[in-house]
Amino acid sequence: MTGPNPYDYIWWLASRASGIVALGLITGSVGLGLLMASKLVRRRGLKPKLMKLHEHLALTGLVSIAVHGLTLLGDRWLNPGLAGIAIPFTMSYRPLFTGLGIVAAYLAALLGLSFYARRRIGTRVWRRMHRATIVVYALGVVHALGAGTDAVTIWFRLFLLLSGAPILFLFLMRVMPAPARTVATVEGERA
Amino acid sequence: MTRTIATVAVCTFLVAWLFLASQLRAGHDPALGPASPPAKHAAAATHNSAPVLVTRTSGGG
Repeated sequence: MTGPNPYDYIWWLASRASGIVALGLITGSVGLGLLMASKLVRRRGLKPKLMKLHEHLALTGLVSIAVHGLTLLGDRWLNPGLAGIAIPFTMSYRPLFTGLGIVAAYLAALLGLSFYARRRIGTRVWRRMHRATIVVYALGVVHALGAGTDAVTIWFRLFLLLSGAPILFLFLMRVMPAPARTVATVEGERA
Repeated sequence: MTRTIATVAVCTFLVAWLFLASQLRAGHDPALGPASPPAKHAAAATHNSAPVLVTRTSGGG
């Protein structure tokens, strides 16, 4: 049994492949960001290296997101047009989930590139903004599951599960209240 | 570091593209569904079907 010629679907396959790469890079960047924020990394000299890696993963992720959208322009079957890939919720194919993907892309660009304007906008404001980056990841996953052709495959779900589990763990570590021992120490000091 | 990450990203993209293309070629693409049998198999099936022998050209008899 042979299927269709892949060269007839070259742009569609390119968009899917770049979407996978983009999700992987954003997952890596968000994961590293959460890891550094969790203070689990204490080895001297490691944090600046991780910071650099975090930054470059994010930038390459942004390029991949752009490639993911732009390659769809060449797809003869979907034929989304410039408006379809640039204006959220206007694409004929699964408008909600493709729209969420476009919103995630804009948020990723805004929050990622705000790093270079942090002196102008103020570090405190930038930090607050940067914490919302987890929303980009969450929207990216929802977009992939809702609009992604490969969302039904086992390998893709396994990829989401294996990459999402550490992110969820690190995110919960970040948002959960202080550990019980700290509370207990404070209580002890009060008594 | 930028060059390394960009190289890894491009290589991953190519591997993913080739994987998706081979999946499509094999007829296992999740969107396009199972592949239809190749034309030569269909043609062979037509040739192998039992010949119809016409014994009558009119009714009755």
